[in-house]
Amino acid sequence: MKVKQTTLFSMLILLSITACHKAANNTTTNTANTITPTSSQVIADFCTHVAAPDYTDMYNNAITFQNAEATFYVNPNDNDLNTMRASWKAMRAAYESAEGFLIGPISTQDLDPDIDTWPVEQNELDSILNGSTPLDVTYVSNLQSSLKGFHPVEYLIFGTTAAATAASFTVTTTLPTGPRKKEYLHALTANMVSIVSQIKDSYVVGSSNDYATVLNTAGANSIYPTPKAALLDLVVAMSGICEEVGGSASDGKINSVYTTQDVTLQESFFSDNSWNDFTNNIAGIKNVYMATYKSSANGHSMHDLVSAKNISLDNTIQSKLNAAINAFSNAHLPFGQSVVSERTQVQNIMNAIRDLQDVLDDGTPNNKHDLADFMNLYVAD
Amino acid sequence: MVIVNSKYFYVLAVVLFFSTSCRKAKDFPESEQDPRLSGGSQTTFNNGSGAFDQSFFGLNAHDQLIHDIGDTKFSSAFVTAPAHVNPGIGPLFNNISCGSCHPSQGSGSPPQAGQNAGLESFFLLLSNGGVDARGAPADVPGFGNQLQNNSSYGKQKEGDYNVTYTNQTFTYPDGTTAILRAPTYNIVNTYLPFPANTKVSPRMAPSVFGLGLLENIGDATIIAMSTQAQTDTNMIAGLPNYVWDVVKNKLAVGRFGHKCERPTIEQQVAEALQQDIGITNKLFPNENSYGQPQYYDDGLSPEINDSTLNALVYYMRTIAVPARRNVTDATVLRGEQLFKQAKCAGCHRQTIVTDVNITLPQVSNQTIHPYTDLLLHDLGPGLADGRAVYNASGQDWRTCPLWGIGLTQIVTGQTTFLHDGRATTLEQAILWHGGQANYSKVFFTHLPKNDRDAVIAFLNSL
Repeated sequence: MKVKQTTLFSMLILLSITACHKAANNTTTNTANTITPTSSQVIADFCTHVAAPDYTDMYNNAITFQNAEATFYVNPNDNDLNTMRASWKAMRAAYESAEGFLIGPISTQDLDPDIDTWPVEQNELDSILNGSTPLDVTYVSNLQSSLKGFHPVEYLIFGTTAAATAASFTVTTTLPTGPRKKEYLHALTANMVSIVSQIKDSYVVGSSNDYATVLNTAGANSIYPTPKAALLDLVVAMSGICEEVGGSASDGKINSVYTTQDVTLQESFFSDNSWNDFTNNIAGIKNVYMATYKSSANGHSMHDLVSAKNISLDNTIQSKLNAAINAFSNAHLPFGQSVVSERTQVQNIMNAIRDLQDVLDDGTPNNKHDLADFMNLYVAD
Repeated sequence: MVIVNSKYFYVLAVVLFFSTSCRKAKDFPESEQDPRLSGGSQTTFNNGSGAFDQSFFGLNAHDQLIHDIGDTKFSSAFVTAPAHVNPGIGPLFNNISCGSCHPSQGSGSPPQAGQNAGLESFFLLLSNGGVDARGAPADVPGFGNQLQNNSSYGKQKEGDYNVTYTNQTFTYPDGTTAILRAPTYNIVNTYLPFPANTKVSPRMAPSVFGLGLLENIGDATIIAMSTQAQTDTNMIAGLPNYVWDVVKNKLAVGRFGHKCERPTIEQQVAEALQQDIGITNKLFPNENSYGQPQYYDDGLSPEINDSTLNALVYYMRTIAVPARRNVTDATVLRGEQLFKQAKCAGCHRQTIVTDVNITLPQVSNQTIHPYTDLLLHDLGPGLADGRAVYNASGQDWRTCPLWGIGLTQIVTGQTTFLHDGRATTLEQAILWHGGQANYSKVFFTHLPKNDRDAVIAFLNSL
């Protein structure tokens, strides 16, 4: 069909005019709608259904650890050593899932560095053990963060190339001597429980570092000008742990070991607990999204917010969450071996985490593809 | 000669008119710029806990990888050599990682009052009051130019320090009062007798975003701001610092540090590694204890390889600037108006255009709002440290960039301001100003309370 020249020019003019306009928002919106639940309810239930029970779980396991360590301190034995190892892993599980929402005092009050600094200062630790300085709680508390917290404890109870045994805590003929290791572990444990207690308190209303109240009063405090700002902060934290673990072609925790095949670069090297760390990191994101922790009932959640407006996005987010979590089950070897012998599975895990990150916050504002954009668009307050 | 059909020419002209009307002007007048874009094209709209740790936009995959490696190293603890991961700390140091001093890439805080400092985001610079051959502050024998209050096991730290505060009451003309805390620093437990005449300058770690944009403000632009201010009554004349560039081996315009002590990000990072963490590197190959009894040559220098140093530098160069918030709020706009009337903007320059940079387009020709002139200003005896640094006298300080300052609390969990963190609110920080900033402070103090609050609201929008 031949188009008349005048029509063509008219079209050109129209094109020129319309090209100036921003693309119309093709997302159906209803400004009269109010979101059910409210953003404040989602924040409140994040505190009570996710953060508080998660950190309480960690604290309870720290107490279990401390009780076992107390009897081990008097009489080193394999049973208590095994209890310590199990409760250490349980503490780590709770802590790593809480890294799905790394905001507030955990990151602003040096609690994360104090409890989770890596790598361990092995040379210094060995020097201290081989020395004669009294190893009380005050001494250990004043040490640098690479000499206290989870990983020095891990170093002592799991050992390095030779697995730690209860008997190694009684040997006096070789350095470091067992009694020095035992003293250090005793002081380390007290320090660790103290830090874990402070972390737990950050979601205890009325405590000195109460962040639950900060979140619940979003819109009426100087930290969060609106509840939306608090929700977005959580979304960014959820996305951030994806980056840290899955590392989109970067220096992520998996990728750095995968690329170099150097197992000493893994964070939980002594216990070879890295797969559990990573799985719990991603499970923690799901906890926040669904407003639940372990078997507790779901609270008002981000999932509720999203599904009320965009079921497709909600399905996508849940699908990516499950895909990332399930991807870990395809790696059957310890992490240090997987990066050598199960490279396809490891690559698939990283891909799944990056896919998840893309639907949480793909880094492009307002393209309406991810959870952050959804919050920006639909959360009114 | 080409004859153009007049009918078609008319239509074509209409088309061209509408087409060209879509184009953005090459240079926007300031009134048409988006005031939220503090970092120009490298502005992030993340205004949460991670606001100070967002990558530049538009980095290619390789550059993004280098940025990410630098980010990881920034956060990682360094340990004593030999070690497989991050070796090189000590034997003397102030802290164990970059991130320990710059939490979440934000500013630090002073030590708890009355207690000897431990691992802090804070340290004391020293000098004997003289200058060395290059014009830098001369070292204190046995202590160098920075007090390292931590050491590796079995090594002697240089000493401890603590801070105590004396409260002063400031009374506004309208009768309301504010409490200002004046710090006193005590150096104790030194391993050698501490010279009585030592000049001591307390320093709190600053935030580290936007440094690439500040680095790309041209020398000529900085100097022009200095000369312009000598004739423009709305501006306040500051002086550029000229400091030793260890790469170029000559004096260069200083940009970084509370007294513009360092000319480049590379030198800033390298010197912080050496002085703060004890990690030798290609720019500073000697331990910070060189020449002192604790010095031990382990033969491993440089303790950080060039690639890692380069990644750290690139990371520091490519962190985006958080956008302003509430820019149309009436109180904020009122506060901005008063900020200008008080001549705060005479030093805290609102708008600067960076130089052209073909190697890093993200920082090239950007209109930014850093609220600094990168110049030295006399802020009076109240804030003086008495320690001269090249052109900076004991009363001179670099105009602190104010961009992002309103996000300090959400990012770092605390609010302490000025070079030593003595101010716990923005109001206190203003009231500590003196010297060349005295006019601004007096203007502020004579405002009614609601207008003072408007100025604070404006600052919190940055």
